[in-house]
Amino acid sequence: MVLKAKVGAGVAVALLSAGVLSAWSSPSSARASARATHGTVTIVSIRGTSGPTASLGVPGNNGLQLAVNSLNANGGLLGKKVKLILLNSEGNPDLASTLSRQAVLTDHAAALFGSVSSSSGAYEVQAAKRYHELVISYTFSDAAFTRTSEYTPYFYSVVPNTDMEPMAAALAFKKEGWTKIYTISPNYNYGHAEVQGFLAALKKLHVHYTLVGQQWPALGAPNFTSNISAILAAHPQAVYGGIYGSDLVTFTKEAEGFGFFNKTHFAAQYGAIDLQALGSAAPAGVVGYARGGWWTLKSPQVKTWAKQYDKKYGTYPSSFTMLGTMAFDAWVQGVEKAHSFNSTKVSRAMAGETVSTMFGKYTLRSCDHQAEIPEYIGVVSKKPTAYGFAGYSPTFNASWNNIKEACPVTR
Amino acid sequence: MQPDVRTTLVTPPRRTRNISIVVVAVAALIVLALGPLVLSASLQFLMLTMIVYALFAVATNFLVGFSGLLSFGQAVFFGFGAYTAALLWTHGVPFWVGFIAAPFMAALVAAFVAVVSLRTSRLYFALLTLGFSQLAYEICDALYNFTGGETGIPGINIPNALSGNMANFEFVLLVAAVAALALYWVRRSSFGMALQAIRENPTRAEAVGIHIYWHHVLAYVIAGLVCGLAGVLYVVYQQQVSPSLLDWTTSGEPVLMAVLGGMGMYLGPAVGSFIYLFLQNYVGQFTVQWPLLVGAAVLILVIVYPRGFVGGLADAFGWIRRRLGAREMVAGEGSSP
Repeated sequence: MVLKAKVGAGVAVALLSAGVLSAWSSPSSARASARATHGTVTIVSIRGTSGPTASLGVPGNNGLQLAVNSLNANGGLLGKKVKLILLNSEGNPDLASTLSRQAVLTDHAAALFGSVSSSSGAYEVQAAKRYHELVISYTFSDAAFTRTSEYTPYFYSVVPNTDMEPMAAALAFKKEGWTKIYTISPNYNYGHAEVQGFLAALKKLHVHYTLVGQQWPALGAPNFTSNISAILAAHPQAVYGGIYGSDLVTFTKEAEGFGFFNKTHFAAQYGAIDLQALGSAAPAGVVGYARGGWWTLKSPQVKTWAKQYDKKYGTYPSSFTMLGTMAFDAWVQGVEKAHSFNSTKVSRAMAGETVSTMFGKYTLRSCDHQAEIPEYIGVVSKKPTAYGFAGYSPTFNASWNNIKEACPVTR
Repeated sequence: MQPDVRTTLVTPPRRTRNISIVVVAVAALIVLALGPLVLSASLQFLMLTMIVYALFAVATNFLVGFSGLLSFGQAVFFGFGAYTAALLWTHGVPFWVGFIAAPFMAALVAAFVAVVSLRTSRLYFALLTLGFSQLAYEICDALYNFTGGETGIPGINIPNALSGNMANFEFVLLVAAVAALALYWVRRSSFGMALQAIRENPTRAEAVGIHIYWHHVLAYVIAGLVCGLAGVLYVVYQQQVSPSLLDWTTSGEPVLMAVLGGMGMYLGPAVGSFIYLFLQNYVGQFTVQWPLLVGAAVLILVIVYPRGFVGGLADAFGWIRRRLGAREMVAGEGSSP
């Protein structure tokens, strides 16, 4: 009898657990049906809004949110309101991986707007492959995602990649005649790809350079003083910096104390946010480049957009606010063309499409889904821009035609 | 004296107790195996995470709760198993070779860590294992060209036969269950009894001829092997690895799971892993401060009820059984001729 009772108890536990599992499984389907009945379509942005990549993550999200608000105010898309979910990956690839899965499986996102760092992006591209989910990057830029076997038709890059951006810098190095070179770049796939792309670009431009040293600090390193000392000890003519965001701001402030900018030339990704953060400490004379140099554009529409952004967020937009808006415009145009939110149909519709944005038109190349966009590169000046922060005019020509690569031969 | 007599009378015989444990365990396994049929894709994934971390926590508890060795370095073996499998598979080594070799590589590393760390006293042993964890993380992060550095290795291919949702789920569940069963067998073996004797009274254990150091080394290696296997299973369902697997915080997670579930019970840490990951996933949807809740729960448990969730359930069932037994006895006495 006791044995029977135990078996009965086991069966009861099993049934109870099965019930719990079934009940547990219901919220996601309930959420999915709720989404359909309320006439909204969900898109997800996964970015580090805290941690080392926050200075790039937050302005990108703001740009997307403004674009979504504007679209919804004008009636939405295919009769539906667009709902933007913002997920914070804290700049952590592991978390980005979990969140991208959540975006697809739980939030049923129609499209995913990607992370800041390419280390997180690597996992989002995997999600694109695995779940056939449309992923658009407007910040992470490792060229491997569009040019190697990593490629998936579900991924689009609306940002100059790690071959294009270094080519822009290499053009500047060639023009200035800098050949004794040092590099400093974060120790992950973007950092390595950026430096690799830079050295390859120099070769392509027939610059006979000498590489006197390389530094690979961790992303979000608390200080760079040992790196700065090592660089100065090698007496390079110029330093190519792949570091960015808060790392670049920290590096710049510390380097100033070492008289770094009087001893060597420096080129790095000084965007609007970094220059605003640095204020009067912005290093005049360094070569700055940005992926979205909105402040160099003369369009009144862009000026109004920047002023409105400033009014709302208390700061001017970043490169990624601009690129995020451009990426969103691409998706909207793709959805309208496909007349569907289905990732496969939208992805097909976007290929080869010329996208109209307030920042100008650009084309999404069919062969690798890379946006044909320029890099903005110039010499940082103390003279403030029309927006009040130190900036630069694009004194080096890094148009798409000057930095583009041929389509990958394997595809 | 009367209550003691009553308690003794209603305690079920050991055979019945064992059968009931087996029945509950098999029932739980059957329910888990039904997961792919009833759960959404996201919940299946969460369930797989729970299963893998349950094995990781049970293996860690084999050291911490059962052998009395407070190790904060189990992530080394979890991560090492995962990275070994990932690297072997991405370099074209057949799946089964990588699957079998990786846990043994983790065990080899565990042997090295054990031989070095166990020569120190308890506190320094814990600190040394923590140090090894951080060392492994830094090495992995620094060797970009080999391990992918901070990026890790995304997109690891596994055989098509295991990549489908159902097959993947059942495979991970089956391997985890077999490994947990094997560890249970070790725990019940004479070696396991010796470990328990060492934990309870090392002086007496040594006096009866048990070599404490080598018993602890072997326990550490076995736990490392199972942690390594959990790491391999992680790659099987995640198809990716990143250095955070080796981080010291990852070493802390199974210890927290064990405390939540109950260190004294064999499957307590497994239940703890379910609670921990449930909190992470569901409370985490509302606030990023979910670890505060876990921390508070652990604090309360340690101070108020160190036997954890499963210990609490066992005590509750015991109490109910005693109450029912007492009533039966009273009823039996009343109806006797």
